[in-house]
Amino acid sequence: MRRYSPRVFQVAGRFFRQRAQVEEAAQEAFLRAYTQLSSFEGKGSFEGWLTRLTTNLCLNMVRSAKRRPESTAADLSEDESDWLENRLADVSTARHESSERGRAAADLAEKVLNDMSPDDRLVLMMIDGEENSVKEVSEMTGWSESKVKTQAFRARRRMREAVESLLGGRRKTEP
Amino acid sequence: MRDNHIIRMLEERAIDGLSEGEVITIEAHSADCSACLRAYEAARLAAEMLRARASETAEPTPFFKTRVMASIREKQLSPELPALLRMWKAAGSLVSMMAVLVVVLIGLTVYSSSSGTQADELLAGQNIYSPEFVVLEPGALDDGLAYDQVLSTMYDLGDFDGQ
Repeated sequence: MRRYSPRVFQVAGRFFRQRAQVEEAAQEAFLRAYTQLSSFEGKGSFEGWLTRLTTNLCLNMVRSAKRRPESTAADLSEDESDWLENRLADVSTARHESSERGRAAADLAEKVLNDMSPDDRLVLMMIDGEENSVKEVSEMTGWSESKVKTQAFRARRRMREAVESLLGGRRKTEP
Repeated sequence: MRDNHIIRMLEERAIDGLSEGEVITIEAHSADCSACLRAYEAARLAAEMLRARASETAEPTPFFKTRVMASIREKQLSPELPALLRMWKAAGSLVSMMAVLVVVLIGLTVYSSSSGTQADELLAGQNIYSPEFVVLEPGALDDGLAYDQVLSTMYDLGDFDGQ
């Protein structure tokens, strides 16, 4: 369990942000792995099998969960507004930011992702966030590569449009 | 202009996956196209946000392993239901509905057969070929009853009476 915990927590962390929720999903994943161990045929790696099991489990958990209205992108905190404003003002700033600013960016991402489907969230986090390849995502989810590409294409459009509308809102409110 | 230019490039690959040539093309185009510039800015910010979100990691609490082991032990202790019982639980409502339907059908069959017997008895009581019916209601015989049949019925009655 110690060996696979980081992987399971990473997968659960793509879908949930609160530590308690991540841990609950990870616990359920290990329990399922234990009860469904007979379905592991030994064709691929155990880690790959566990990753796929955890991904599908988390997808189902998110799909069956009710939306959390407090997490939508409609209202931005002061930190989030500042982050957007600063990033727009200096487009050539290096990637490395203070942890506080990084947190504001992650908060903003979470708000936008909460308005999107679980499938959109998954591909965006895995490809654009973690820089996995289409093939890797296909292996980890069990989806075909063409499905991953199509899903990522559409998800990127929706994410970009959501950020554009946030920026549009900011520009309108600026004096 | 916007639809035919850089938007598709921004959606086909992650920003980090764009080649140097593609980035130059996008930036050159965005300099003259405000709509594409907005889209490019939004795509870049979206990528940054996603990287920031993906860099967050959750660590297991010290009691995580204990909790998982407890849940596995609990699972082991809870008796597994026999296959037949599990199947019954799954199909329970369907089987119950079918049983109710069978009972209703049996009830209807019994009811219809008993009411059918009563009707036969009633019909037998009003047998149009009975002597009483032939004598008392001759006008009702409009179904082509032959005259000699009527006579034979009357004679049979007479024989029965010993006349």
